[in-house]
Amino acid sequence: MSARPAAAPLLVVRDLAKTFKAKRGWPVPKTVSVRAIDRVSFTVERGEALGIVGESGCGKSTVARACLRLIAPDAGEVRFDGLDVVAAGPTELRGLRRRLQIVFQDPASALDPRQRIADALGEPIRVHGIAKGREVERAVERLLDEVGLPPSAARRYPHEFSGGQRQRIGIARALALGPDLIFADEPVSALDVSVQAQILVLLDQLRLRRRLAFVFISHDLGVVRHFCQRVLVMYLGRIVEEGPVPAIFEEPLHPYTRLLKASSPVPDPEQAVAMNLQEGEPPSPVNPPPGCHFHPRCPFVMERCRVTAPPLTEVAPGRRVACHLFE
Amino acid sequence: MSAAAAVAAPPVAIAAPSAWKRATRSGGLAIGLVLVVAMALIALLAPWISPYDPDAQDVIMKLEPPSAEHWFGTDAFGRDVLSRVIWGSRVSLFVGTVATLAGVLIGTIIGIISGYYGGIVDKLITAATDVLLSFPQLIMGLILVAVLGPTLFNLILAITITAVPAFIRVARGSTLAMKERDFIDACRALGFGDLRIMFLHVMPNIMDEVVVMGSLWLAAAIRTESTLAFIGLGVPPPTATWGGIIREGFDNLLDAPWLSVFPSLAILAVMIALNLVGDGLRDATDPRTPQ
Repeated sequence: MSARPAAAPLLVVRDLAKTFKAKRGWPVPKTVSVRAIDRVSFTVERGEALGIVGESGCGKSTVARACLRLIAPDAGEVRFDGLDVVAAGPTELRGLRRRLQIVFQDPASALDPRQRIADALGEPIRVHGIAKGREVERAVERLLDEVGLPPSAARRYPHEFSGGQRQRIGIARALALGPDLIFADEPVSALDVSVQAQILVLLDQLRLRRRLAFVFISHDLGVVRHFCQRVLVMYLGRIVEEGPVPAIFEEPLHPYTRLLKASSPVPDPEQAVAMNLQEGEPPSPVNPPPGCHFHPRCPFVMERCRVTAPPLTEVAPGRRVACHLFE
Repeated sequence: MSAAAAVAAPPVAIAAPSAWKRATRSGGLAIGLVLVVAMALIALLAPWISPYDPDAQDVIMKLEPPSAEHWFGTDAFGRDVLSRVIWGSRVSLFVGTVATLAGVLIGTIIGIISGYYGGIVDKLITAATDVLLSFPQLIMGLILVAVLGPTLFNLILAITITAVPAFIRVARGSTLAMKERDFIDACRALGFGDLRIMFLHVMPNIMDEVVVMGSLWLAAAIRTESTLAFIGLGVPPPTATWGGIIREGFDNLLDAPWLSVFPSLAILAVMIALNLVGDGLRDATDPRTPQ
């Protein structure tokens, strides 16, 4: 892939799929398979923040973990800057680890409780041979400064910090190797609203200053709208809609995106929460409905929705939607 | 602004009591530790503090009751029981400690590997562990010593083998719980090797449970050693061991009960001390323990 055009996307994901299998039942165990992600394709440009939204259990986090090869995908292709992530050997993978990082949802579980911050941030720098000795200390100080923490934080343990501060440390650790792309898996949903805003501002500054790309996974439309340039909407392991912000929120096309928008709270006491579109639980991913996964909840359901799954098709420049209404 | 808001809120102590406070609150850990340290010192300083040579026989002074000269009395060969109990602590504590440490080391390493890798490795290790654990500890020790022969090394080996599966199980379980935490995934995303993750990140975080288990197992190991010595499978005579002294005393239990009573009390004291330490450590490392 040497003759790659300069404007090639940073990350290309094609037909990524992962099915989790578990044996359940007694006395005769049955294999239960959960199709966590079902042929998901998307791209991320350099310096871009791409949002992935959807209900819990729709496969958002699995996408992030499969792209980072924290779990092995069953099928599909992940190319980062032209390099094949899924097939990378140990040496190649080590190189990729420096450029692809992740920030976790729960900052309490994301840090090793027995490690001082100086080591939590310094260890990756040492392991990858980026700096040695005193230089590591200085690098740690710079990282702490970059995420708005004092140098004295280095001597302390994770439990001595608040949730927001711990998330800053988690971000600093993700920055330690100088990545190009960070998967942020619900990075603010475990935090207070006021702290959420601070963390989002920090991430946005980092994106601009370091020209970082983000894949920002969230169930909070307001947060995604604020932070991202483009959004994917996932439902039960499939992408149902893709489009730029704010168009996708101003004029959502897929009935599921409309449901999401209608049910996300508006910070205005005058406006009653509209939940009239459709109630109902998301169906179990163990036993997804045939055809379009959304049809049991869809107010516009047609006969063929129950039989064939609609493909993701481009309906306008940059906007793709998987719905029979728009074919 | 309301008047109430103008009053500065008093600082509220919300911090959970520290591990040290929780451990020392009941006092059990402190008493246990003092006893354990005292026993260890007695064992280490045996050549200097034992009043007589533990093997020196004195036929004239045989089966003497406790007196100012012989605090714990003398046995059928006229040997000083106090000196024998002091020297016997060396064997019991040494065998127990070495066997437990070896069990902790081997069991923890295998347990972490089993829990971390999962899959077929885990299945095999777990199956082997279950087989070993299905033998009662004493029967296992008995078979091994009977087959291998009663030497100090074989005794330690036998007790280590009974300890290993218990520590595999504890370490494996804790590792599985640790693996669910995001920081292990973070380590992998940072490109750390499996060995680094297992021994620099998983191990320090599961040592709480292992140490608690270790202090309780030390008691069990000492008990096993004494039991084996009692039934004649310990370090061979004339070396003084607690179990051996109790057995020798059995021949004269009605005439000279002090022969068996004093070493039994020594074992009892060690058991109580180690269990106090184990319970105290468990309370200290488990914040959910009711205060």
